[in-house]
Amino acid sequence: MFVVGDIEIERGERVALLGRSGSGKTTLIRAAICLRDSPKPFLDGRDFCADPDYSKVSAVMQEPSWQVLAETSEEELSLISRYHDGNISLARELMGPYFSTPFMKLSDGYKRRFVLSSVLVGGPEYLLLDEPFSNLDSEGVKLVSDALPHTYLMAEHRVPELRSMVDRVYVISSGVREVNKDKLWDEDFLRSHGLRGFKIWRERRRLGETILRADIKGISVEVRRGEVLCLVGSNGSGKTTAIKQLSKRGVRAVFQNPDLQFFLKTVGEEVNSSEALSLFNLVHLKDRSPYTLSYGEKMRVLMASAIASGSKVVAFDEPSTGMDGDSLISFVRALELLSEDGRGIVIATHDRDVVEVCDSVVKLG
Amino acid sequence: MPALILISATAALTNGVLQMGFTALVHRKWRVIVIEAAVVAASFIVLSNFHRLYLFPFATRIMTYVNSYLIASELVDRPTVLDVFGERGVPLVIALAYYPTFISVGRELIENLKVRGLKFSPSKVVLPLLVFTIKVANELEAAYTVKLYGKFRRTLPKLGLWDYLFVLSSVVVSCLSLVILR
Repeated sequence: MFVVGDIEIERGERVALLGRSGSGKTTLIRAAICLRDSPKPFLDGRDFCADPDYSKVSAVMQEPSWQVLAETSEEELSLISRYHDGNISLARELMGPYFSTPFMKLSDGYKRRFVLSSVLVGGPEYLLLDEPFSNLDSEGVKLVSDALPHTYLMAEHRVPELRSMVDRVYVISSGVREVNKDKLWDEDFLRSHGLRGFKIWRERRRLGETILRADIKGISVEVRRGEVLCLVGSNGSGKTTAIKQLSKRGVRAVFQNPDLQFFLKTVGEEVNSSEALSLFNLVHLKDRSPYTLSYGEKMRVLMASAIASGSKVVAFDEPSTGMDGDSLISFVRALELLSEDGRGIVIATHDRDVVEVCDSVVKLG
Repeated sequence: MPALILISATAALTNGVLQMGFTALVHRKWRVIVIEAAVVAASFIVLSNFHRLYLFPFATRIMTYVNSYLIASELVDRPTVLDVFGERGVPLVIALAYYPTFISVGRELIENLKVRGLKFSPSKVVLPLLVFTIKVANELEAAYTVKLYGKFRRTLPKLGLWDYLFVLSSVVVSCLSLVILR
């Protein structure tokens, strides 16, 4: 049995770890692999960190691009094989035809498989996963879940995907506690714990005149004042390219990874409009560095900055990546504000929760 | 790898023109070559006008080092780096793997600056790049810990025909450069 803090995992068990963004899921996983002092992990009753054996307990962190040790899976395994023996054929099988393909050229699903396979070659008995499905479409989720071993602890926001996968569930909310798996279907529970998986609703308004006409990948698209238009399609269908094209036509675009979109020292400087700051409830944060905010707050800063830019249409590229339930609610409320202000909104997404709040949907790919 | 080290080292002893040309022809990134040619030509003109031509080799040496880095990041067989340097080569192999990531992040930052309608200035890009680097280091630490456990096992390098040819041509270029300088 592997124990870290209040979490216990038996061999053969698939366990979910849920909680709001910033609740400590990643911290707990880092502690489990001895990168933090507490809580102490125990493997079969012994202090795991006294003599850590990563062939027994291993982890895959959230962002695949930041965990690669070489350019291709083949090269990475060659590096790993200089440290310990492993089942290279397993990695070869998981990567299929992409075993020697450079990481940057892989699809999002295979990028996850890349990092997963290089950990699985060591044959760990317990695997800890930090948001393995983040930014994956349904095909990517299947690619990754098919590659998972029998015993794991998975920290994940995407509750609907977890329902059929896990045996037991822990929630971090003023401490870690185990909850009945039925809670994954309890909308009130999910909403009150900042988790995803509940139905979300947006107040619709009468749409105004057309403010943008564009040709996106051969499809003629019109955006009306107050409209939320969604571009849907699987990973690689050209959604990001479409948003980039729109940004060249005066549409204010907000891309994934908020940290790469902040260039100024404070929230106040980023937004540069007291009206937008108060509209998005950011006045109390105006002197803070945008990098220190939660994901939901960062998105609100970018949205406030977009509204302050005066652009008639604002576009978002996969805005719900890594969002917990609270951030999703906050995002939808911010969409209502933009819509109320008469802006047109374009959202590129494959997230079913986000598609629910769109006025119209255009399928790409 | 030894050939690259040799060529970079001899660039410091000579005027570096041949080393720069040779390394440029190896990586064959034509856009980079055009920019390098423009930089070298501009340096030559500026330095000759100010009668400081003795500083010119520094320009060609820098280009040689840039070219050597590009070659090392894309063309060098990374297991060979480990064979030559042992465990000390591991950080080098990992650093080379992050070259495409940082290039793509740099591009993304410039694009995002344009989208935000902000003017480019190095100080604006440094902060997000620093935040990104810290985040990468944090996750990389975890990956390094769980993937590279155990004791490093060094194997003897096996040189192929291309390795010998590359070493030989580097020696020729370096010697030729020294002879021309004298």
